[in-house]
Amino acid sequence: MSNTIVDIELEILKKTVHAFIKDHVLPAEHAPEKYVKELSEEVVAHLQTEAKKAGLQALHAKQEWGGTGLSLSARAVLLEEAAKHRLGLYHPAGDAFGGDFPSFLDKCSREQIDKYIKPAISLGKGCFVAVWEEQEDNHLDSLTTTAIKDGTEWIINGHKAFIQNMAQSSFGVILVNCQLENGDYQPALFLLEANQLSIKETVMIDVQSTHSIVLENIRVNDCQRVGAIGEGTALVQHWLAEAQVLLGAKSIGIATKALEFGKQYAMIRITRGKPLAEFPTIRTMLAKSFLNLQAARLMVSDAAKKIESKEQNWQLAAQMAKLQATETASKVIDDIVQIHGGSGFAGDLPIERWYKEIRIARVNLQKAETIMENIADIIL
Amino acid sequence: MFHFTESEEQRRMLDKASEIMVKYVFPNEKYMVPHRGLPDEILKPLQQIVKDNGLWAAHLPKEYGGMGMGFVSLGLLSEVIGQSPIGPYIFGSMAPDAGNGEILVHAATEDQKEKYLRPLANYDIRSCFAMTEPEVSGSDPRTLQGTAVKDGDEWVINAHKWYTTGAEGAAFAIAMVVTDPAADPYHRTSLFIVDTDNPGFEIVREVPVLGDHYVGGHCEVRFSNCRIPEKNMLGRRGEGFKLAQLRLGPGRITHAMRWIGVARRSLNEMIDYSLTKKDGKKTLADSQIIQNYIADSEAEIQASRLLTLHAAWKMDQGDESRKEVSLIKFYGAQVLNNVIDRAIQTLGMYGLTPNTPLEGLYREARAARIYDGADEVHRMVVARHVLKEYQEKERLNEPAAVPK
Repeated sequence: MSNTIVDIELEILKKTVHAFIKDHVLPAEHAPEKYVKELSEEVVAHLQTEAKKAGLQALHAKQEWGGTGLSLSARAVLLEEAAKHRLGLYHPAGDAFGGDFPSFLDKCSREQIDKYIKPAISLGKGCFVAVWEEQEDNHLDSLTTTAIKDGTEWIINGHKAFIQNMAQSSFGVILVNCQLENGDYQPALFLLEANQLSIKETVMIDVQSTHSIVLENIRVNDCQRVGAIGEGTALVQHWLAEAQVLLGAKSIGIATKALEFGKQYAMIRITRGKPLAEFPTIRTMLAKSFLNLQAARLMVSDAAKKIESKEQNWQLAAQMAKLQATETASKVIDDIVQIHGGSGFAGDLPIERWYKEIRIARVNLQKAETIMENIADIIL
Repeated sequence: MFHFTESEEQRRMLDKASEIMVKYVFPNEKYMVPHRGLPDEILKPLQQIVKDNGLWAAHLPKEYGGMGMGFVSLGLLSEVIGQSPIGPYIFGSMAPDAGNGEILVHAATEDQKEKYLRPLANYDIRSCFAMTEPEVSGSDPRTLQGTAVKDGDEWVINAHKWYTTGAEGAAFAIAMVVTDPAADPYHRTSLFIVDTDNPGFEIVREVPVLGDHYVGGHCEVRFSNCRIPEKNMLGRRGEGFKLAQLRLGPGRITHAMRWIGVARRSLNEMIDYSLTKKDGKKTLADSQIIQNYIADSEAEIQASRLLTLHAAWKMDQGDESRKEVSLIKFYGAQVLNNVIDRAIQTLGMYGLTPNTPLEGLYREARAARIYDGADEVHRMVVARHVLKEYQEKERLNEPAAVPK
């Protein structure tokens, strides 16, 4: 019975998000004759004010921190809805809900919460995660950034790349290998302030920024550590699984919206004497999109539940959901571009942006080859 | 006759072109400006090098400064040039000017040739082709709505067009508009040459698009009571559809071969990355998954290349090759997209950064499945031909040894 109440509450929240996108985000993105690539800080600030009124801020952060404190399953449902606009895949609801707060922040001390998390929430910002180095799907055990103890401090050397959401974050967390007294290395997480780093921005596929940092003798205090030494990789794995599920949910969001565009266009566009919607090729594209999106949605929802209950193979469920959702969304968006023809290639509709961003999502947070290898490892 | 070797003359041409690509084209890609290409001060001297080497404007007859060669040779050269987005501009064979040049050669009067073709062939001016309209399906040019009405010794054009590629900076447009609405769908339209400084011609905007390799943007343009002299009709009245088709045939050979060039380059990027970057202790190339990508890409590139050269060869024999041209259009465009996609997949997130040419090629490549007839249209054409051939029990054009 309690489940039903949760479902009803979630349904109401989903409607709230839907209305929020329609009433605030779509108008904010709407600029006739202009090609909107991002929202200005003022617009985002305004959206955040409106979102707060609707009780939607820092969806994952605990309520006592000032967040909304929603479960992963609930966030997956809401972020699918929040992604349904031009900038939605990497800026759901136009960043109105603020930044991300990975689960490992639950490990933060009271001081850390006061110093980093609470100010971030009130600023509408979040936490970036610096994990990857050479490649975005590095094996977590073969990372090379190290920290050497010096009194109460650690001296960090190395580099991190493919850091996302840096602009939406007021602080971050870095995964490093700490040298123990016996000379061994153990992974740990440290809180970082963005202003102590030299940051390089790289624009991916003309649309989305990613950042890299070089760490040369960066000093962090041991009190900036999150969780125990040795716990770093496990905490990052949990973050990764959650992020994969949410990326999957958002991908389904933009693809579902793309399908709406596709259906409408197919019904009005006449070629060779009849609407596109009467051509079997087009009907099949639309039908397959609908079918595969529902399958992917179920996998995302299933993975979210498995992560929450730490069911066996929860990591695998997250990876599979991410892969299925991003590949499906990519195919859907590709088909919708095709249905639109020249209009699909043009930036007047958001489909053009989704086409670029879904290509990022496919290689983002582990790509197909890596995930396939992991699945094979487990089932064999 | 089966013969898969270039002639000595072709080999010399390709070697020379490859040398120019390596020495002058790839190193200058870094000066490329999105939607604008190379600045003139860099472009012009490079074009001169190509001219000095006799490789300029391969698609045009010699009398207009071109190379005057057959479709196979043109295709082979396009493959080399097409590897770089700036290649066609440096070699004087870029769309839409190449296609416009071909129409002018075929249909222009002597005066029109002097005024428009000569400077166009020399890249003193650029041009654009105004056919596609936002209001009607580009997959069906019989449905165009823009009109030209005769008024004394002038024509008055009223039309709204988009994807008029290269309009920004073009000296003239070739406009395809309805002159004979009562005629059958294939004879309703005619072509006109419109100077872009005509007060009735207006560039509404450059449409923002996925790819940024074409110079002069993909523009939305409007002809509003645009008056042009009678002598600016290109070809005969009612020939618009026919001439536009004529433009597209050879264009599809050069497109398809340029795609092969792009696909080959993308495959090379993939191989290069897979050999040097370590994933743990092994290279990516040690992984069977990447090996499969390489093998599949090689197979598709080779298949598409042979299909295209075969179509070109048939055209050199005087055949229209409608089926073959449609085959390479949709198959080649898909191969192009497949190979770039695998390359990006191999490089991962790095493949989407501006550190490699892949992301730009990926964005531009998506258009190939749409322009000059979407996949679906060409599949339809191929299926129709194949069905007809079967029904007529005539398979004369099949280059298969085994009768089916």
